[in-house]
Amino acid sequence: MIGAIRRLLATILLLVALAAMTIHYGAVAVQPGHDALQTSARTLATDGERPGERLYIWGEVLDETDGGLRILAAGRTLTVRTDTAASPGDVVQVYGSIHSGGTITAERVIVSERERLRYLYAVSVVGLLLAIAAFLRKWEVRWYRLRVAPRSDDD
Amino acid sequence: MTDLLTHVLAVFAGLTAASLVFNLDDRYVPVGMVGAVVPDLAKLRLVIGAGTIEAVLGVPFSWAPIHRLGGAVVLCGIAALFFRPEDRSRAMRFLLVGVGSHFVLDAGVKRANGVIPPYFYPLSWWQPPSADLYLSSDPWPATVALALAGAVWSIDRHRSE
Repeated sequence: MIGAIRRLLATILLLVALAAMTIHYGAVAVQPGHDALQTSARTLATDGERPGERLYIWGEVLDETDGGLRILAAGRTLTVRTDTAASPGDVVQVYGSIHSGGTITAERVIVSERERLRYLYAVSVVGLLLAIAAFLRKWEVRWYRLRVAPRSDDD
Repeated sequence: MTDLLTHVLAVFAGLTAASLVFNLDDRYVPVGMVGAVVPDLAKLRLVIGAGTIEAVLGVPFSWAPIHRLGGAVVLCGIAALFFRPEDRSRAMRFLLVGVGSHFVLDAGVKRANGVIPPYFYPLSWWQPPSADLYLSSDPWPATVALALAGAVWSIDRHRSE
C-alpha cells in the first residue's frame, strides 16, 4: 500500500516536471536562438517577419510557380523562390530570407515526396507494433496492479 | 525524424549484439525498443495541436520537450515506475538506451538550416550541426536496420541452439 502511494506520488511529481517543461518550452523556444523551427513558425503566424530575416520552415507544396513554389506554412501561403522542383502535396523544408509579400528567397530546399511520406507513416506504424509485440512477448502487464512483470515461462 | 521501424530495429540490433558480448538479460531488449519509441510520443501534436491546448489552458505550450532529453527522461522514469522494484533500475537503463539511440539516429536527418533541434533541452539550447545523411522518408535506413537486425537475430538464434 505504501509502495503504491509512493509510486503515485513519484508519477505525479514527474508529470508536473513534464508539464513545466512543456510550458517553459512553449514560452521560450519561440524566441530567437532557441529552436529555429519554432521561432520561425511563431514569426510567420504572427506576421512578425522583418524583410531579409532568415527563416527555417516546413510547409506543404500547393503548386509550382514560375521560378519557384507556392507553399502553405504556419497558416500562411508563401512563395518560395527556388530551382528545386516539387509537386503538390509534397512537404518541403525551406531555409532562406523572407521579403515583403510573403516571398522567401531560398538558400536550401529539401523535398519529401508525398508518396514517400505515406511510406514513412506506414513503416512507423509497423515499428510501433513491432516494439509493442516484442515487449509483450517477454513482459506481461498486470492491469489490476498497474505493474509490469516478466512472463513466468521466461524465468 | 527517422522512421519508427528504423529506430526500433536499430535498438534491437544493438542491444541483441551487446547481449551476446556482455551476457545481458535479453528480456530487456524489448524494453530498449520501447524506449526508442518514447521521443516520438511528441507526435501527439498531430492529434491535439499545441495551439488548441494554449487556447484552452491560457498558457504557452509545446509538445517538443517529449522529443528532447528532459521530457524523454521523465517519461522513461514514469514508465520505469510500472516495473517491479527489482526490475526498475535495469528497465530505466534500457529505456534510456533506446531514447539515446533515437536521438543519435535523428541527428542524421537532413535539415535545410543545417542544424538539429535542441535535443539536450533543458540542459542546453545548443543546436548542433546535422549529419545530413537521409530524409525521414528515405527507405534505405530501414533497409540497413532490417539487415543488421536480421543478422544479429540469426547469430543469436544459432548460439541458443
